[in-house]
Amino acid sequence: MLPERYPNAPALDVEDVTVVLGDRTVLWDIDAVVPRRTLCAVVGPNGAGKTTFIRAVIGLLQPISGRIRIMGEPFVKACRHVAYVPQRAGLDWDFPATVLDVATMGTYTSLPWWRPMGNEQRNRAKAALETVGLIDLASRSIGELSGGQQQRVLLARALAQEPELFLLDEPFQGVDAASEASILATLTSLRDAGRTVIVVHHDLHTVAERFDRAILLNVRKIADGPVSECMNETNLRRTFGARVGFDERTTATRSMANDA
Amino acid sequence: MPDFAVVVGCALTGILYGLLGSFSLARNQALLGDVLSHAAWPGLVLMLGLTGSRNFAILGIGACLAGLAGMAVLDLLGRGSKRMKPDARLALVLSGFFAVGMLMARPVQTIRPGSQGHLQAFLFGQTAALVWPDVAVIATVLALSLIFVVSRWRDLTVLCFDPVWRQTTPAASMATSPLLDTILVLGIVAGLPVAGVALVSALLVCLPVTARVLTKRFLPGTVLAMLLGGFLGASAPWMVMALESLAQNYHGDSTLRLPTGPVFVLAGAMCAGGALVLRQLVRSFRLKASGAISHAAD
Repeated sequence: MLPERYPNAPALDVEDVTVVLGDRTVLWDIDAVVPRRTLCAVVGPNGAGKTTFIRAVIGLLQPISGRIRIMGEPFVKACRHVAYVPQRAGLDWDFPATVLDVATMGTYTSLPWWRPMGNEQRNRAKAALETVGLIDLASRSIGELSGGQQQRVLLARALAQEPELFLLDEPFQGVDAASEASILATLTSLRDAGRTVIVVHHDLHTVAERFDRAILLNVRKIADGPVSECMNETNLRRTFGARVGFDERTTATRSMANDA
Repeated sequence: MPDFAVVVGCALTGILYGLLGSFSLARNQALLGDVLSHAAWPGLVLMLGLTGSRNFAILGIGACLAGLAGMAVLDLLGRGSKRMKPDARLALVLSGFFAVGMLMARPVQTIRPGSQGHLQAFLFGQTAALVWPDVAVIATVLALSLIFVVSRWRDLTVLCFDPVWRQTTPAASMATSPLLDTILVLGIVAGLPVAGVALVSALLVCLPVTARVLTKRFLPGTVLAMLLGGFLGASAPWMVMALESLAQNYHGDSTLRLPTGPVFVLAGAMCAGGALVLRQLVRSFRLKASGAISHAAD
């Protein structure tokens, strides 16, 4: 399954990437490396370009300069091994589909259009729902789900893709505590199983506690590396700058106190 | 007895519109059909002016080209200026193209004497005048649509639900979305003899809305919309006949004629309305039932 052409290449290698949207520079000269088998958070204030970063990685946006490699290859070649979990709010949850239907979409990606769906695909989708704890709701309409359950369906769809690299955009936004814990546990076990997981994330507290690495972004890259090294007060202040709210600063300092 | 060609033509149109409408509704583009039918109008008028032909297959080519041009202008407007909201784009293309068609209609009627009634038939639909060659056009478009949809079903489902995620997957084909748009234009044009520019898009909406209320998955919903369209289409000429004879009994006037297209559309709209009311009733009944249970628990 693994693209073995570059077995030693990092899961994600971003070099000198600059993205311009309209007349605004959203990302400026980003360098970042995410090794395989890590759980990595992308951290930064609103408007820092976190979502843009993810969208550039998966080829939805074209950087005006720079180079992005996924396991040593450009996205078009590596896309088979990448699963993207979009922001829940961007989707139409009135679409007539069941929970199982959405999870099954993840298996479509490895199936040429002329081949019919088989039991293998159905079982993969069911296993994915089992992992995220939604198997009991498999025949429920997606419109009847809570925010946290919707997010878990999208994660199940990504699991059914059986990728090496997961990219999640704000998976904890508007999600209840139980779902957040369940999603975090799933992501951790994926990392333990040898996958790489990159998450756009807000809560500095969970980043310090549960993630291996972090990329601190604010248009420019402030720092990246193991959480224990890059999540220090200087870097966080530079990332959140004058815009750092009272809450964010206290969580940040608290999480650093936990580290110490 | 209604003409057999009319019954078959209406039924096939209904099936086609149930199919295409399901995709329009799922992509939140219910109004696109109305825009495309109006955008097709100048092409039809121009083709009649140029060729003088009454053959629907020939006039349809002009209508399709104009419809595709309308689609392209919509796309350009969306790209060019970010400030133009989708509803403004739709309104601009609809009225702009239609105005061009109306402008050309007068000179065309002068150049091609006797074409006035023919143009009006396409504007408002003239189902009773449906002949077998028209039915053949509708059947061809339906066959093409079915082949396309059946072969690309999975990709189309994903395109409707999550087009952004779809772009990140290896199975996504660049051609699917433009092909779906093209099929939609073909379908709209094929339905013009039945319901006309003005009414054709109503079928595109009311059939899938009914199906959406009654089903919870995309495939059963699409099949139901097609079945409903076929049934209503086939029965519309009979409904017209029944209404005409009712009116005759009441008035004693045997020359009274009713148009089939509007009857077809109204039957579809009543189905959609009925389904919505039914759902509301079921919901409030369920609420009452659950309320009764919680009261009993107290």
